[in-house]
Amino acid sequence: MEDVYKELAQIVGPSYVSNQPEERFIYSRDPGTMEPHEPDFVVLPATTDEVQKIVLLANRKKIPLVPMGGGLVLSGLSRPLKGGIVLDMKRMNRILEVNEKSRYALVEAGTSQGMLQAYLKKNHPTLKHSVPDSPPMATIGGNVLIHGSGHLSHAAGFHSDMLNGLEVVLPTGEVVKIGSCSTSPYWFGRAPLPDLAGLFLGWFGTTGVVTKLAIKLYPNRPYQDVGVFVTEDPELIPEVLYQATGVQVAEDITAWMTPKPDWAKGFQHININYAADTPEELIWKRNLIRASLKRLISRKVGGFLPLPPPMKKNFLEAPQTILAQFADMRKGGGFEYVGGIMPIDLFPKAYRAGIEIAARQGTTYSTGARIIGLGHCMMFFFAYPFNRADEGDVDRARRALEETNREVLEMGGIPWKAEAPAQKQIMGRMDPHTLGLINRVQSMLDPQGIMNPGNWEVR
Amino acid sequence: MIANIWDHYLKDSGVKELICFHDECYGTYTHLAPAFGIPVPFKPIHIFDYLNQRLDELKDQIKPLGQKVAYQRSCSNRLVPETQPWVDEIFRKIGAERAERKYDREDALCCGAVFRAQQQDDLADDVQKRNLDDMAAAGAKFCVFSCPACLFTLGESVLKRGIMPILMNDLCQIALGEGMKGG
Repeated sequence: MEDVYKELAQIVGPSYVSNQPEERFIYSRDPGTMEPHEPDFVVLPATTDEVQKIVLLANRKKIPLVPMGGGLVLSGLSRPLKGGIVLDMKRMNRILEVNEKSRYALVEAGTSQGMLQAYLKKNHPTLKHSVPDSPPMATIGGNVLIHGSGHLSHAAGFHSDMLNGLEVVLPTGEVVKIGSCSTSPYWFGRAPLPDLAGLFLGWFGTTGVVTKLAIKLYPNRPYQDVGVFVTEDPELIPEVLYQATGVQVAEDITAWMTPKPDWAKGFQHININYAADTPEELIWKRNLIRASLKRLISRKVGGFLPLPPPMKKNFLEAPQTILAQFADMRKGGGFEYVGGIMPIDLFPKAYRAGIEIAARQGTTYSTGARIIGLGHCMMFFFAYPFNRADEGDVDRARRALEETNREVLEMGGIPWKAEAPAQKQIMGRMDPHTLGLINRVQSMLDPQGIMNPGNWEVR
Repeated sequence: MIANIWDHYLKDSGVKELICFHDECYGTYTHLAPAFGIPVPFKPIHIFDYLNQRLDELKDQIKPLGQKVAYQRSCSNRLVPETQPWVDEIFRKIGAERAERKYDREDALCCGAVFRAQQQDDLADDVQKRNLDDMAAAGAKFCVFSCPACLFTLGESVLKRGIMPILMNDLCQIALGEGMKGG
């Protein structure tokens, strides 16, 4: 293994490779409940050329290679389940281009959400990207590649839907471009070419290492507001969402249900965020949203919270920081969640399942949802806090997560960014021909089976 | 409720007088509780009454404000309208001129929160606009609130009109040259 270390050091420089126990410890885990797995090496490349050389080395030596962004996925996807090299992409964090008129940004895959947000605020204040509710150090690349969602997902879908193009180092070392950038100097989109982006979206790094990507940007309107619709009948929520999404003026629609604080217990809160270029437009949008829910309001089965402006500030921030407080509910700062991607019809069933699972497993909970693409589906989350220092508490959360994954699949949803065990549950239900196709694609792209082995493992 | 507050928070401290920051509290202790035969084991004192007493004690330190001040009467004041003269008394003592307004005293407008709670955004918008237009037309430099909920609801909009939103006790502190908390 010493020769591998030397070769890695030659590629990236000795300061950016390590096989020391302290780095191997840190890179063996993420903040969730999954068991740690130590890598043999951690390496931080700075260029696509360096990534290519590392991939070729891993290929030659048949060493597992695990690409990693912020390492915050919580479901352990960047743990090296079979050892090998963790490829930390955080040095590849340059913002290469912002095309203001065509509203897209080209960034290196390790660029963080916070960096792009700050860069746009300073240099292109009329534009913004869809920010996920993760810490600002989460990467743009990682979040797009796991089908993440964020503060513009109601208007524009999953973050993978906002992808214009990719540069990828294939498991065999070739560097390929996907989308318009394969044919044009512009990264404006994936149409009208054969769309190869799907070979890398949702594969958890098992089909290549994404080194650059272009994402869509959106108007950053100066006036923002939020309406919080509240009801205590979960059966009404699909109708609430159907009506509120149908107006097509919201940027983001999220739901939150939690037993703490006490005043929130038993209620379903739907946050509807919208923005405008003028105060008049903002009021017009508010009135449209309100009109869409008028029938429910007049039946007195729900209504908007009368929130004064200072109380709205937390609901308007992106990313939301309230989850950090929830993570410490049990003290010890741990939390993990199952995000079930599912139709909005399943909201009442998912809501009840979350409460029942938490009660059965003796843990507390927070549930909620982010509405994707005008209500075409939602990411319903079941979050469980735990005390990292209490192994019993961690185990309770782990059991709750396992049970939730089963329930999500049972009711017709699909766990998002699924842990390795949950991937097996998903594949157990998958159409065998689909599974076969996944296997063929993996075998074609990664004949040595070096890319993040243990994930989406059909073979 | 009163017994609960007394038993858990006040009894052991030997409290004899309780200064009420909000009209709703003062109204509860002075009117509603007696009407329902609920004993009140302390003497409630309205914040404006207290401020008046303190201003008398500190009159040598007062630097007259010399500014026009609008007053946002709270809906809770319906319980204790007898406290209204104290507003004029305070203004007189600190050298503030009560802005001559269409919507003041018995014609005061709601801050709008109640209408929003009733899902009447259009009405809330209209009432707030008339209220703010009136304050601005009267040349008010400050808008004084007695109710924190009114301040939360209207404060930002008042500020956008170039009028300083402020609680009565903070206004008195300025007149006493003490400055406001934090600055």
